[in-house]
Amino acid sequence: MADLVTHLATAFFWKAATKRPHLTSFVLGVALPDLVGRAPVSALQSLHRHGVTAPDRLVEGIAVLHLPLGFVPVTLALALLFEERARAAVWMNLLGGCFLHLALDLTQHHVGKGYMLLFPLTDWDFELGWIGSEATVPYAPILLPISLMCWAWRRPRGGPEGEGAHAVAPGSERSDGPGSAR
Amino acid sequence: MRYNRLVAPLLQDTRRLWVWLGCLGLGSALVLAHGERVSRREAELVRCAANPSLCPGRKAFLALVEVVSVDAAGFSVLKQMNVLRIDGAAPELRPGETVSVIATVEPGGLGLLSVERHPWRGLKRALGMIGVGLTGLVMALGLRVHGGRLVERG
Repeated sequence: MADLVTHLATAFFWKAATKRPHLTSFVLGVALPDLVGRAPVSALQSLHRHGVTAPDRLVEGIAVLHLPLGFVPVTLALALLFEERARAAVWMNLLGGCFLHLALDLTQHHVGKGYMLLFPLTDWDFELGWIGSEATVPYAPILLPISLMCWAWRRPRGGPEGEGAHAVAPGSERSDGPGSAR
Repeated sequence: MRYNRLVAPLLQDTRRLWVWLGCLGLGSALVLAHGERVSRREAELVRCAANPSLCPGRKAFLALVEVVSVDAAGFSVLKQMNVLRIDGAAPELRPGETVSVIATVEPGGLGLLSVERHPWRGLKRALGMIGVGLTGLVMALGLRVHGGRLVERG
């Protein structure tokens, strides 16, 4: 995985390039694969050093939340915390962020393994191997402020709720979302 | 519209509890299935290291593992919850360092073929912590609670 600061920078760059709303949920989506799929594993490994051992299957299993099918339940559960009329747009932004995260991670090279993109259908794993796993680290402190400036320059400006509840969900017909269609 | 038929029902307030339970069920099933599949591979590697006659000559790839001890004849790494011994001098390594190792199963255990050091790993971890903080800041600035639900600020 690339470092989290670079991942966040890609989120700001993406929103600056597309001029789309829902920055907050997109940023959360970009961070999510590491927050739910990597951080708990690191925590369990730290505990292991202090004599607390978690089952192997749990430690190995959590990594599935860093894979495409694992994104679905996590993002959907999170999207349900938002108000109903913005939920579809939030869910799409959370999912979009997760896939942007994965796209950057796929450019890396790890010894002898890749990402099992089609899990659980097959064990086939893949990564492009273009950059080392820490290649982004020296650039992160530069990328983040540049991405923030790009976003600040290009961010959508409109009504006070332009980024909020009344934004159009991808694929939805109404600006007030599917929940109010009933 | 197909979108409305497939997705909209999942996002309704009236079905939140059932969808949450479904997410919990799907997430747990995926974690269990993935854990089972990967730990089977890991167990095979540990078995090979403990009893090399089972899989002689097989290559073992240990990506991003932590060095736990180093001596003149080799070193040990922490692969998830298992400590694996690698034979082969790598005097420049230090305990706590992150490395990627390619080893081969030899009669005496795992023999070192190549080791790749990751000197930026510590900084990457620090950036991870900063990233968590930044994400929290973006959440704090970008979200508010209204009527028991989260709303993105304009």
